[in-house]
Amino acid sequence: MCPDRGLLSAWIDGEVPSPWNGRIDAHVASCAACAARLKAFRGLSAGLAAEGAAASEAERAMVDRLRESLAPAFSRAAAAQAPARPVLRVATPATAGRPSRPAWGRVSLPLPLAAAAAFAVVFLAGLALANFIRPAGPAPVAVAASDIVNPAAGASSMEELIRFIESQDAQVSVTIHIPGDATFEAPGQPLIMKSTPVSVPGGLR
Amino acid sequence: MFSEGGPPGEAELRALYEATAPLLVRIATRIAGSPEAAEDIVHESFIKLFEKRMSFATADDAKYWLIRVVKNGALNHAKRKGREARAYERWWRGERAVADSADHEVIQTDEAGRMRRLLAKLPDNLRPVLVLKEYGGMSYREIGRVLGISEGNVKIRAFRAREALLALYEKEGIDVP
Repeated sequence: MCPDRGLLSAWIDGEVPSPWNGRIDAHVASCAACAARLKAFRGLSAGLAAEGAAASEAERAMVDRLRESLAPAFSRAAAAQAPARPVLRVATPATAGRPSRPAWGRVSLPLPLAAAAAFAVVFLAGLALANFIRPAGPAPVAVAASDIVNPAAGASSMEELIRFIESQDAQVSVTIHIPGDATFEAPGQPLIMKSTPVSVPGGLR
Repeated sequence: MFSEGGPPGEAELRALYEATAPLLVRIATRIAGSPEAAEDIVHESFIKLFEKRMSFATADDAKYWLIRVVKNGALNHAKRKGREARAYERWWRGERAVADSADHEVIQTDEAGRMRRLLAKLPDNLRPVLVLKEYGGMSYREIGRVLGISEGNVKIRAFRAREALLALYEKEGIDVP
């Protein structure tokens, strides 16, 4: 029995999985009707390829012209890429004591609890959702000790923190200290379940 | 190419251009049915990528994004303007590098011209699939990804496009080469 023409079309495109493609191979080798259909489809592909070949000079010219016309925009891309990229590290009470070793300017900014919690959640959520990896660009330059910014510089709001980061030329490592008594509850988690120990007299069965 | 994130810089844009422009030009011209429109469409697609500060996980993602944008722009043009088959023919003839008066060359061009004209007559929902398959060399899976349809749908549309093209040839009384 002949495969239907749709299947032949897919077979020509190499889209029929084994073992069926092998079976079609065997069938068309000996079937005049299918051979005729195949000839028609293959003729189309050949015709399309010939058309493509006939157009290739004109297309090359178009590619060359587009390269020229896009050059200004591509050059602007170099300028648009921001040289400074702030690196933000959130310090929890567990990590606060550990020395970190960035080669960039450091600043420690104690923040009020609400701002720090909101920022930490927003930033980490952003990390989870974003589809980004570090940009290709000049490697971060090691910063000499004298370049380290005053660690006592404080910011009391997100706006001040962002303004501070934007004002820096080099990459900035920012450590946000979250007060040690912060507790982060997952939204919707009933407090009563967490705070009430459950025990069953006689043990669970 | 896009091994690291953030919007692409100049070097990456140039590399992406060199890797994808010939394919995008092939696709745009045959889906739009007009070389002038195709040039604008490909130009705008790169501008869009740059202005939206798109960033991609892989070079293939960037390529598929560009193909999709080019396809949409080309279809919009085809819908708005109808088919400019005549302008298309004049332009292609004008761009031929060397005028070749040998019969063979003329016959070739005529066949190519006929193919272009008939391709432009295919319905808008079938033409892009055939173009991406035959000129883009893409698999059904890749085509489905770009067009946002299932592989099965791609298979059906590729088949229908071929049948439609064969029917158009038959109507002209010409045998497919």
